[in-house]
Amino acid sequence: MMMLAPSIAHSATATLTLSSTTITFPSADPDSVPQIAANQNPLQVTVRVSGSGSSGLTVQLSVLAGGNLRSGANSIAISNVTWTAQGTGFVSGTMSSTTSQRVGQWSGRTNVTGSLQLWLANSWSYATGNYSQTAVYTLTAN
Amino acid sequence: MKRMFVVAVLMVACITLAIAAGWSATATQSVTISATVAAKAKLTLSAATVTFPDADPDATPSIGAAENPVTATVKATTGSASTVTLTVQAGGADLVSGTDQIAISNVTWTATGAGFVAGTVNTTSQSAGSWTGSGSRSGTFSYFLANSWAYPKGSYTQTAVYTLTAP
Repeated sequence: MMMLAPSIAHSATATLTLSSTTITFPSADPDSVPQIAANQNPLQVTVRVSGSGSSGLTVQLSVLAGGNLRSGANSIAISNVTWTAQGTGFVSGTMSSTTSQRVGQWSGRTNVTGSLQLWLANSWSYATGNYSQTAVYTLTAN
Repeated sequence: MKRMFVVAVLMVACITLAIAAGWSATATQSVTISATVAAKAKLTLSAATVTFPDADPDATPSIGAAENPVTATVKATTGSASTVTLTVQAGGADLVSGTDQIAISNVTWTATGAGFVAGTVNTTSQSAGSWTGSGSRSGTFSYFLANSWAYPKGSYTQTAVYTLTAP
């Protein structure tokens, strides 16, 4: 007897687009500017999940930093970087280098654009320098 | 019958596996976060005028300023090993009232607060405090004028400039 194993092709495609891959905070007087806005605010974020297999999927966008902001031997805790969010499904949060932080969540086929405003808490305790760090935004649909 | 049942189960399993394989997707995007912290210095004194009232030199050999204590707040961002300095320098050698003078060195101050130091006013820059690295510090200065029966009567004035440096 011949066995038939039907082949059904289902797939989902995820696309993440950010209006900038660089976020820069300028120097500012901590007394007059306690929260420094990123030069690139607002950061436009477009999330797309499509495909014949996308219905019923949980779509999540998260971000994880690679460590603290660093300038040589000096550092600024990455938790001093926060963001506010606008747009359906997008949420505000605080950067972390230990735990992936949710930026947004949707269901099924998704085509949404929102915006993030990033902020750095200012302080007189920061040593002078040019600090940097990488953060990875990850979009998953499963 | 049993064989037909086994075939049916195998077909369902194949279908299930084929569907599960395509039901996930991922996309990532890296972002570089940068922040610049430039050198900054800010000095705040609770009084911009220091006045010494008239007093009996026998009863009050050292006249305290009416504004004592003057609160000083020093804020600076600098290198982690750099020295923040606060200095004071008089604009002239004397307190002046017309043609009469009182040597500025008769004006002294005491200080409280970590890093703040006492001293004597002079026409050369005098240290009033120093600290290492960035931060916000507060202390007080109390000013005194050495009293004397030798001073001619008058209303004497002079300017002193405080300078805060954050390299």
